[in-house]
Amino acid sequence: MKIGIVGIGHSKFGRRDDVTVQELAFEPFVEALNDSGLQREEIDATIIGASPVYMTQRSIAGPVTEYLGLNPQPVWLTEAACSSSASALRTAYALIKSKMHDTVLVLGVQKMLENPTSEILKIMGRTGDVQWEAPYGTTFANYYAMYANAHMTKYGTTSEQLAKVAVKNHFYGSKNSKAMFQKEITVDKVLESRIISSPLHLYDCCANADGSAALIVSNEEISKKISDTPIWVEGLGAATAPFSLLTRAELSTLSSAVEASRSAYTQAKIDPTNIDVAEVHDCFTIAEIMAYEDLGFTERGKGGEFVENTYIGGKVPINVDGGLKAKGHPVGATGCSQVVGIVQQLRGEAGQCQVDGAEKGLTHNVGGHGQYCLVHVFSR
Amino acid sequence: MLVAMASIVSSMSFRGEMMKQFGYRDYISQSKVGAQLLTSLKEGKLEGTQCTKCNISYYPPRAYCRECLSDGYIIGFIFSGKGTILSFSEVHVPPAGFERFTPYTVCIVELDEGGRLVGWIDPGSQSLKIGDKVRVKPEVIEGDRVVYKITRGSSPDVDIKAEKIAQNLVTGSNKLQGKVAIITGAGKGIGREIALKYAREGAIVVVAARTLSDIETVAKEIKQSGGEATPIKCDVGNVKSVQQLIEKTLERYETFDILVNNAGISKSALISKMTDDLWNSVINVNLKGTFNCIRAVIPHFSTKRPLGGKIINFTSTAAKYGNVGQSAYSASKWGVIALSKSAARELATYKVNVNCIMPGYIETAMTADTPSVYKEQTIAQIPQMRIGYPEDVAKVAVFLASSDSDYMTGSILQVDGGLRM
Repeated sequence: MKIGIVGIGHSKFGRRDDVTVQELAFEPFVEALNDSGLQREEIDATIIGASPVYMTQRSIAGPVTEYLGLNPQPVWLTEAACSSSASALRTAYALIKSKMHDTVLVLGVQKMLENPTSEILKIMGRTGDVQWEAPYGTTFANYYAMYANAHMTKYGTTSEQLAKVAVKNHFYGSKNSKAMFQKEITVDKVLESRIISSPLHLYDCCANADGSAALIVSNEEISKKISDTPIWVEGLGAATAPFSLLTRAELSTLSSAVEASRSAYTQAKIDPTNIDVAEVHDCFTIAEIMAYEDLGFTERGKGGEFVENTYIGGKVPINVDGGLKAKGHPVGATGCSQVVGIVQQLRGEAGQCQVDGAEKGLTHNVGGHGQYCLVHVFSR
Repeated sequence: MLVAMASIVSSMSFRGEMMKQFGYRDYISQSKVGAQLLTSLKEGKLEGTQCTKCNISYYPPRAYCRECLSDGYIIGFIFSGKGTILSFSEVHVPPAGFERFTPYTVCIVELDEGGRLVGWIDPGSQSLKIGDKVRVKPEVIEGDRVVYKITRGSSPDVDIKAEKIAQNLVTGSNKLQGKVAIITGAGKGIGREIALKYAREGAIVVVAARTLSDIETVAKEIKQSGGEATPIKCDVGNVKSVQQLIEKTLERYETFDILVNNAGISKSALISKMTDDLWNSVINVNLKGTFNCIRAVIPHFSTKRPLGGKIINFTSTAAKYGNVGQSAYSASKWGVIALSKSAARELATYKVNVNCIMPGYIETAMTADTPSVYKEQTIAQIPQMRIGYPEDVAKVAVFLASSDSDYMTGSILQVDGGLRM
């Protein structure tokens, strides 16, 4: 039995002081429901992807489900830091595959900006080891900056190459009305921006954001019945790596991403050259360069040079909806947001950012600073 | 060449405040093994753990072996502190609580003997590079907190020779060198920790308890680490068994200097439901057992030359405040105090010091079954905000066994993090 995505929805990402978390969840839910043509009663269960530590409302699965009018169907939360909603999709896939449920709503939602930046940095810093690392004021930018330094030293990757990733993603973000930032930037602007954690500049870093995205996932029979363009989940890869840098073998790669992609490609019976369009987890520009290599789009060490190949028309168009860099990164919603982007591409509904003839797409969602990674392959 | 460390040292003085803001009272002591290592960290040593099963050494220390999943570990693998920078980054936008240190440079160091650590480094005037050789030395700040001081280069004057625990466990200050100590209830918990600690301080240890397999394991651990120990099965509530313990000790070592009356049991019941058997069994081990051992060592302590000895008895904060359901335990432990004071008076003439340790809430097998709600409530009452570990008690037991406490007798030393002041 194949598993199809039959409905998608996406809120505007950014500072969303205008809505509660329930209201924020409602926006993509209604879009996805209308997109699928299903009625609420036909949704058998809901899986929420979110990182609850940021939000004032506790145990959000309950409040959100009530607000969406989905009682008494079951709901629960999956948490895997920034890869929470990709994990939610994996859970939904298993539920449908096991025939426990036929149709499942996967909803990624996150309100981060209820907290000041310093508080968010503190919360994120605690994703690292609180006994031996975090007491030194480690932050996410700091972890990725150490990856960047390692990558630069080992392979000669440059700050200009990092900046080019930001330039590309902001270029596509400027065409995405749901993105937090819709302005183009230049390499000079990136390099002139202030240092956040050396060598990463402000524009090398994605922004904390509020946002939500939804997927309605169904079994093969329902998908074919209700949709002319179901998008099939062809491969699911998930893997972990040591969460502490104190036990990571390499700092210039995420072994979780290598392992997750290997298993996704195997299940989908393809290799990286078959991917027409991809959404990768560019929480920092170096993360996208590492992803090029970890996913097998280019040789190890060549990621810095590969960015030019990731525009539309290049070898593998990547993050052509703006990526985390321009869309913003509401951690629990990002995994679903990436899938929405790929579904639009495979349906041919991506407007001016459409990759012509895209048949196979990939999402790469990283949790924490690499301790979790989920890679999904989709096809038309 | 060492880089001047003025700026990093001064900035470290804020770390106590920083850790409070970050939610840590004592971040290393969050785990038992961390708490056990604080002493050596304060002495400037990077001391790791070594798995007793597969001999892998860990830094940061691990209570459970990642490779063989064993929970057996010994402390004592000393890392030289020499290492290489794997990566680093200067933080300009800090998390809450770190604003006053900004910018600061976080680096990750691979130690020469394996193991890694994250710490701060002062980059100084020269630009920092991955691959730079560094030295790491733990340093005490704010009175009791430890941070890593990382400097570039290597300097022979601060060199600590790497040594393996298997070759030399005695990393203490040898405060009990050459002494023979009898420790009852030494098969597990506080007694086991005291036995290991005494061995590290140079003592020969007679490891006594009712369960032979437990004391054999402890003795083996001490011997494998280069110490000397003998396991002797003993039930302190049985006069004959105690007599045999003393005879066998003298037979093997000809003398002894220290008696630690640690053996104890806890059986709970409300007074209205307490049977005579339960009451008698607790009193017989905790109070009568302590008496049995003291009485049995007097012939030796009164005749040995030169005169001198140490008796350490164990009471409990339960004696001071009582506990619901623990009338027998509390009464026995209060009895130990009175017994100790009388013994202190009687034995002073033989230069034998008799003192009591009053542990509070210590993590041992005896407290393992405590309901978690009660455990949390108790920890919430402790000013130092953590449960005690056998190591905390063992350190005080070293003090009372050493010449440092020669002018103390009849005293009660409370080791409870301030729980029952």
